Amino acid sequence: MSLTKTERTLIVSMWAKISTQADTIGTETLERLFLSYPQTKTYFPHFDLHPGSAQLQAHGSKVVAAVGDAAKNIDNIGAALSKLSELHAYVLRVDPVNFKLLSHCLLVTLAARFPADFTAEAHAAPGTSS
Amino acid sequence: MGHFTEEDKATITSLWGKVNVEDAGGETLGRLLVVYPWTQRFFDSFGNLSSASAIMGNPKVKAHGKKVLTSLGDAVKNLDDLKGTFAQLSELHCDKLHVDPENFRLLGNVLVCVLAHHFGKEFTPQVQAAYQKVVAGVANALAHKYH
Repeated sequence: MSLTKTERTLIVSMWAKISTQADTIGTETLERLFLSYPQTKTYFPHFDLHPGSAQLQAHGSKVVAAVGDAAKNIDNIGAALSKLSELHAYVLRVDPVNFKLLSHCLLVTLAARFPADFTAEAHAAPGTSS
Repeated sequence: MGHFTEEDKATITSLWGKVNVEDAGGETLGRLLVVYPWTQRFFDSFGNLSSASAIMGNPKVKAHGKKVLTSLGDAVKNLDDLKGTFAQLSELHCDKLHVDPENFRLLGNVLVCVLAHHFGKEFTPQVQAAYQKVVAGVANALAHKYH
């Protein structure tokens, strides 16, 4: 599915807002993921997953930064994320269903933090680019 | 499937008490149709679904959304017997409406987003986790009678 101009604008402008709270958004997203979908913790046996842990914060930042890269390269997400895709597929071997769980938790985090911006159109836009 | 602790039930019931079922229902069904446009296939008789604003403002969408969410209110009152509570609706959705149960999961997640949107900070990770259990339980209960 390809993005319309409106959707592109929406994603870029949402990203501008997200980047101001990137780290806390990343951490909150992961917290939501691990609480709602405890099976996702199986990929992090080496992490301290308690809320507020340094590892959780560091990893949250990484995840949101990657989403940011995708947003900046919205017309060529495949290429932009190809290294990460390979990493998750061949090294980390994460079942792809988990990416949907993560993006749902990111959406929930954004909905809670940006009520004025989380319109139905904004809700729909990220999906068309995944 | 999901087991609801006493804490879960208290969390779920307390938040639900503050939900405006009419507004949230319209919002949830509307967003389902906008975000997952293929779900419009079940609503040919609803009239204008040609744009996000048409969908969100459509009175049939709002009315039906209210119906759906009222039903979910029944779930909240019967967390220990979701299968029993939704047995008839399950048969209806299979035999008469021919709805792929995947759609129940989509609707459940849209509801979670709508609740987060409405309640903001109050919709903590813990509250979300409790509600994910509810929507998963309802989706399973609705799929249970499929044959």
